[in-house]
Amino acid sequence: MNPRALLRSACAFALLSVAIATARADVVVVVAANSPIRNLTTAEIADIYLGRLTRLPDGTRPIPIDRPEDSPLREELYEKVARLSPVQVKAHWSRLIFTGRGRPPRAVASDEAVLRILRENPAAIGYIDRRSATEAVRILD
Amino acid sequence: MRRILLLSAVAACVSVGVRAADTLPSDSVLTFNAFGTLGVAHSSEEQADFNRSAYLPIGAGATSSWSPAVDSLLAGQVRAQISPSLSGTVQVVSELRHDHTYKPHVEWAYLSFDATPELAIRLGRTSAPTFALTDTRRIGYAQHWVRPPSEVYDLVPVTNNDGIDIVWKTRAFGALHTFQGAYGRSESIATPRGQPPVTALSDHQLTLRYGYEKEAVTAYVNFGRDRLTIDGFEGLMSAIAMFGPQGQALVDRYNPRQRKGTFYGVGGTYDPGPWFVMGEWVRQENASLVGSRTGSYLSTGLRIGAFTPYVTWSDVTMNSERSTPGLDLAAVPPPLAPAAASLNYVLNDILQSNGDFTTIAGGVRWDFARSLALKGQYERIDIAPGSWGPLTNQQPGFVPGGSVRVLSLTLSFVR
Repeated sequence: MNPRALLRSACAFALLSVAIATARADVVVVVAANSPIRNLTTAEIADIYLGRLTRLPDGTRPIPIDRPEDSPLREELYEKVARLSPVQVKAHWSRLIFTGRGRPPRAVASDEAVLRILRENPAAIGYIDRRSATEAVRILD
Repeated sequence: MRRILLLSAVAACVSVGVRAADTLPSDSVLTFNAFGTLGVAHSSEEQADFNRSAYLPIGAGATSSWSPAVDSLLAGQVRAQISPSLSGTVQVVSELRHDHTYKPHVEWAYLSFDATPELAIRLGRTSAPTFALTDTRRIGYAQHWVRPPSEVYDLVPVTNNDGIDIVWKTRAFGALHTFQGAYGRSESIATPRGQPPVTALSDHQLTLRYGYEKEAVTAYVNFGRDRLTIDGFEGLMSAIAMFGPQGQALVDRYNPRQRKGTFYGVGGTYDPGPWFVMGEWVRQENASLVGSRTGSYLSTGLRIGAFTPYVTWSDVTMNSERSTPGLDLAAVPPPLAPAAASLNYVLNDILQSNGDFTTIAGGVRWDFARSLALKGQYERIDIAPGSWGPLTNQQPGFVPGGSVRVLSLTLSFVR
């Protein structure tokens, strides 16, 4: 293989890697388009999902919708908003569950199920793959 | 009258709770959760046993070189959602008991009225929020180490609360503040130092905890008081009382009957993710032969992929006297002097055994599969001269003081 061909295949490989990386699910936190929930800080989103924030300043009680433990989106969300690994999240909830101080959010399997719950519950907050976002939801960036 | 007041308070909470209920389709009425640890521990001391508590009858060392009795336990919890604001929870734990069996006992059994998501009133048996980790100390999966240091967690062995418990959470300045108060009583059977079982009754037990959580920071302040009676010392005390006023003075000083106890502590964790540090300082005071002590620990670790290596330093120091002159032998009738001397010996033995020791521990946690954590820990316990340290079931050849090395392996799960 001559140097030029080598360079070409290296470039192709690099481009392919970038393509794969961008194709990876990009998690976004969403609420219904008509939700009273305005913008939330990353720390507030983390606190809602960890059971530390149950009432927003305007009185709304946010209803966090989680994803199953084996969901890559879930891992990405907790890493992004709280820098917590799946193990740390599980340890957090086991401390609350076995002392009766809290219960984890309800988990649903698909982006569609999240969207359905958001449609029916203006106070609900969920997270989905950016590509699944519709006009019925508002992305909290 | 008191009962009627309580019931109306509960009814008021239930009705408030119903109004506050959310519209989301409710999840299951019955939830089952479980956690457990399978462990073995080895101790270098062959003339006594090492266990997580000196109030347990046996452990690793004298009874068996490698023992499953130190860390193994299994717990199951059932929670029933009776109405949107009313739930019942029962948690049953199987672990080594005073009678050497693993017969399951009810650790938690309460009805909870969640007046709002921020306020829960619980009636029944809960775990008193004595120190930072008292109510979560059994959940191996939720901790980086094999077990919380006994220098702190063995200071107040009575941890249940049969009564009322109120938890109120509120948010201010971007942080979650949790106020918890428990009032009630508790009865437990223990085998201190492997001695025959004694019953400890703690009543007028009041425990208060304030917790602060904001991002990487968690902090606690705890305060408690109780009135403690330990049965099993009646023989010793009545024998001492027979020596007239000086005997009675000793009984007044040391008899563990209805003695006021206090405990308080402060602790915190800083956990930004890649590493963490946590520490706690606690003080326990009791005006009887139970004595007063100060315990503390500092632990830090790193998270490297699935591995969490850590080191922990912990210490407990006696604040009350380690010995007493006891009965003045010159003042007792000469034929009774040998009896008085042996009573003095027993009393001093109890005071001295109360425990001064320091532990350095190092270990690693490996999260090798979902919901499973494997841990290995090595610790060196340095026991002050004359003290029995954290050990139990001392054999005739046991020499108090010195250094003990313990190796532990555990597998913890949660579901």
